[in-house]
Amino acid sequence: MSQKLLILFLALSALGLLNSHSWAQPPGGGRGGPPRPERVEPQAGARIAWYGTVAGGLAEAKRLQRPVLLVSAAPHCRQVPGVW
Amino acid sequence: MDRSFLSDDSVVAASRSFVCIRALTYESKSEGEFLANIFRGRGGELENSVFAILDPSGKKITRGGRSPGMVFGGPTEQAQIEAMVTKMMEIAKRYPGTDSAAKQSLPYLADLRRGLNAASCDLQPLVVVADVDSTRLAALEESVATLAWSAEFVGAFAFARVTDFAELTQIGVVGAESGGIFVVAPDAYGLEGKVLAHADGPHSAAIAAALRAATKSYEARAKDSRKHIRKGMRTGKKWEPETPVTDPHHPKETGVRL
Repeated sequence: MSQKLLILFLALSALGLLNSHSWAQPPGGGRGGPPRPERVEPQAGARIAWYGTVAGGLAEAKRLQRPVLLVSAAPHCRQVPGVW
Repeated sequence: MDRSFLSDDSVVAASRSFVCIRALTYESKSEGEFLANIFRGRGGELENSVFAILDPSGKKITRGGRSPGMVFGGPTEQAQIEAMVTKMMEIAKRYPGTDSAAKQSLPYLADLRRGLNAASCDLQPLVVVADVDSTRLAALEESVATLAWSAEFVGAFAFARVTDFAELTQIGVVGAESGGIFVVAPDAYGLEGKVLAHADGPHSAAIAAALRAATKSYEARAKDSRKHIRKGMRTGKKWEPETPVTDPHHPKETGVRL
């Protein structure tokens, strides 16, 4: 019986079914799903300085001829604000 | 959002050679179209998060993905971060910029409402640059920008511009009658704010003093996202995105219970 269960587990793992749900992703996002709700701690130390609009950032990149690190995130979850 | 990557010291250091843009997904139709051209999920729709590195004209250099981890593969998160930093350094050499000493403009959010929400998400204060007079506002921005990109303050604040003091009233800041900067602590939901410090005019020393005072008095409180969302739903803290949320992984779509 336990051998059958082991075979079933390995087969499902191989098919990726055990990890297919988006919320099985680790905190901070993953390869197919959104970040899982997690505890957000204040960030100590240096931080990235973000332009908050595509137009503003791209205009600056063009002016300064610098490459762009682009990220986007929704500032709400289930329409509740204050959380990425 | 992918905090582990974007808060890593080596990524932050590498980011200084880039213009870093963090758009708010579903808050602008035109931005949504731009982001969807960078990355679409399997269903062809714009998902909650997008990541890519672009050249100065806005064309993709890396492939687009949902997160840095998706774009920079590797057996461990640390390996992915190292791959990302190596790529960033290579790209920075290819695009060194016109002038490393060139002054950068203020990294504004689209408006006060969105700025306050983003600041709340990041657990950091928001600097509101406010004046009804465009000449005075420009002088103020010039002074604030110098400080915003200084080693002491870079990345420490979110920024929003206000040209009508009534906007400040809408976030609970009353009595603002003259221009200047208002350093505001967002509430947990980024819907209201409290002034931590204020500086009247474009005087660098006064603005720097206000930024320092705000940094000292601001108390960032950790959030448990699950509890935050539950409480927000219970108490009617509601955000109306500008465009429909099309992410098939979004909890509302998947029915995942919090």
